[in-house]
Amino acid sequence: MKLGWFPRGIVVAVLLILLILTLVPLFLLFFLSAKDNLDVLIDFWGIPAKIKWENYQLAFEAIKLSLCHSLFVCMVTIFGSLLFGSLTGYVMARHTFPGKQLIYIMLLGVMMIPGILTIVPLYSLIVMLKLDHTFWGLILPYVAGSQLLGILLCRTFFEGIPNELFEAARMDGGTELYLYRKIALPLSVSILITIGLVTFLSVYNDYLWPLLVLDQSQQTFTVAAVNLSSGGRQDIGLTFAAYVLGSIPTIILFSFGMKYYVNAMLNGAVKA
Amino acid sequence: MKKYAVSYTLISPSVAFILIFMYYPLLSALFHSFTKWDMVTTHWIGFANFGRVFSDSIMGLSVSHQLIFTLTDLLKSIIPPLIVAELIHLLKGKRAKYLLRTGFVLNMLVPGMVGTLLWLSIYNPSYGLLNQLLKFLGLSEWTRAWLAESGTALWAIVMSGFPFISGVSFLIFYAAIGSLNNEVIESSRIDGANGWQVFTKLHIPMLTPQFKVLIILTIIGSLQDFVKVIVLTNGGPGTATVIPAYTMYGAAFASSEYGYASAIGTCLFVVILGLTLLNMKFLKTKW
Repeated sequence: MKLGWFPRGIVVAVLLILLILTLVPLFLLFFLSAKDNLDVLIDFWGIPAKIKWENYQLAFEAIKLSLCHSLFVCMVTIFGSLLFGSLTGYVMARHTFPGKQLIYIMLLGVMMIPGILTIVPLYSLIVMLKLDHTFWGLILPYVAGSQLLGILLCRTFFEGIPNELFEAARMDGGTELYLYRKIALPLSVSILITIGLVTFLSVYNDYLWPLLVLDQSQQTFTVAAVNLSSGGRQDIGLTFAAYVLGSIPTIILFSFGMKYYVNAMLNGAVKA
Repeated sequence: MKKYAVSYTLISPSVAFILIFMYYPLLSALFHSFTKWDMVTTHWIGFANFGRVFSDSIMGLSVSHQLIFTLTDLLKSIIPPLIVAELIHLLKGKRAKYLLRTGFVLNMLVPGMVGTLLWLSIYNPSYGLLNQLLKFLGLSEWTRAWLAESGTALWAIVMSGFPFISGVSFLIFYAAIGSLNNEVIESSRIDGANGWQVFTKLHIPMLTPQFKVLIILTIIGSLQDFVKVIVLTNGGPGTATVIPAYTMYGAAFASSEYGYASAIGTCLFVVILGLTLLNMKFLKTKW
């Protein structure tokens, strides 16, 4: 498309200014994580004479346990939601049975229930089931919510796989679970990665539920990060170094999965 | 029934999870909003909780704050991402497009909570970037405790995330603009339409589905997003930044009025549902 009314130089300049403003928090994150407390307060803008690696060492000690808790909860949730989501998506795509449409509507109807409405009764349910102060108190509700995206995307995806592929294997005496494991799953790796990534981001990022359900000793990264930043005597460098360390899991996941995620978005996950 | 047994067995975990952790709490919330509930005993009190929701002065204040947050959230989630996506599409070089597209989603690398905490630090009175910048520019008298003064706290929350080019909205617009029907646009160009006309007369109507999705998602998210308030101001100073969802959280987990909290939740649910339906009805897709 021709630019016509807009000189190219201005477009580039505006975009670069917006890009820099957008990335300010990111620069700040790395900048302050390398500085000494005194250094931050007295000479904020000064480039640190030497990077204070000790910040990272102390920050790691402070949050390593909470990082492990977060990663454990994320892994189990992702496993559960991918397993149940893809199984149900598979059945919904390839089987017909009485009540199928009703059950499908019931499943997707959950998306209309705002999380805010269920916080209180869900908490009381978790207490009733004696799951408070356990990681299962987080994982089970997470799986219930996050499997929906899996059901939706897997159903659409499995419906697109040619029936002949399944028929051939069924002739050879393959059971349903065999078809699901040997045909459906291997073909859907990229979609499963996208679902896993989205699930990871939302679970890793949750603050409220770990705060309500877990003990102080079981805290997850988000809770630990908020505690670090709201303590009375705050070590600024250490706090920022902890933020950097807590971002490593998302950075790693994105560098592997960004491609799938952006493509899923660009190829019309939301093509209404 | 036997031939369907496999199907039912395979979907049973999903269904069980949904019934236990989604539908049961939904019904429980709706029921308990008519009761006085301390999680042990339940007393039916009819519409008393709802009467309180509508007469409570804190609720009135919460709703007015929520209106400001939701309106600004809508503007923030649509205008800046749309402008950036349009501008990138004006560029010719594939490489430049790719680099900028990647640059604008880089913030997604950092967990959202870290993003919020970074803004908490930007507003910090002693070492915050904002005050440091003002001092640096010789505007020391403008510095203040942005989140701790009732005059600025609300707008400081609104402005957090500036310049509001969120990864998801941006990607949605970027993808949509890239796949617009080019023939119509090219032919209107040949007929002499300028860039601005193409943008307002063709792009904006053609992007209706994306606007629709973003408006629904933003409203739903905005009404429920009180973690931001908890982390940045805890509703304060005083009641300067309370919103309904925060009031609900406080009613439940600070003063153990679970019935009242459920009633606030039910009202939010009704509002969300109503707005979603309205939105679907009035923003009919044209293209």
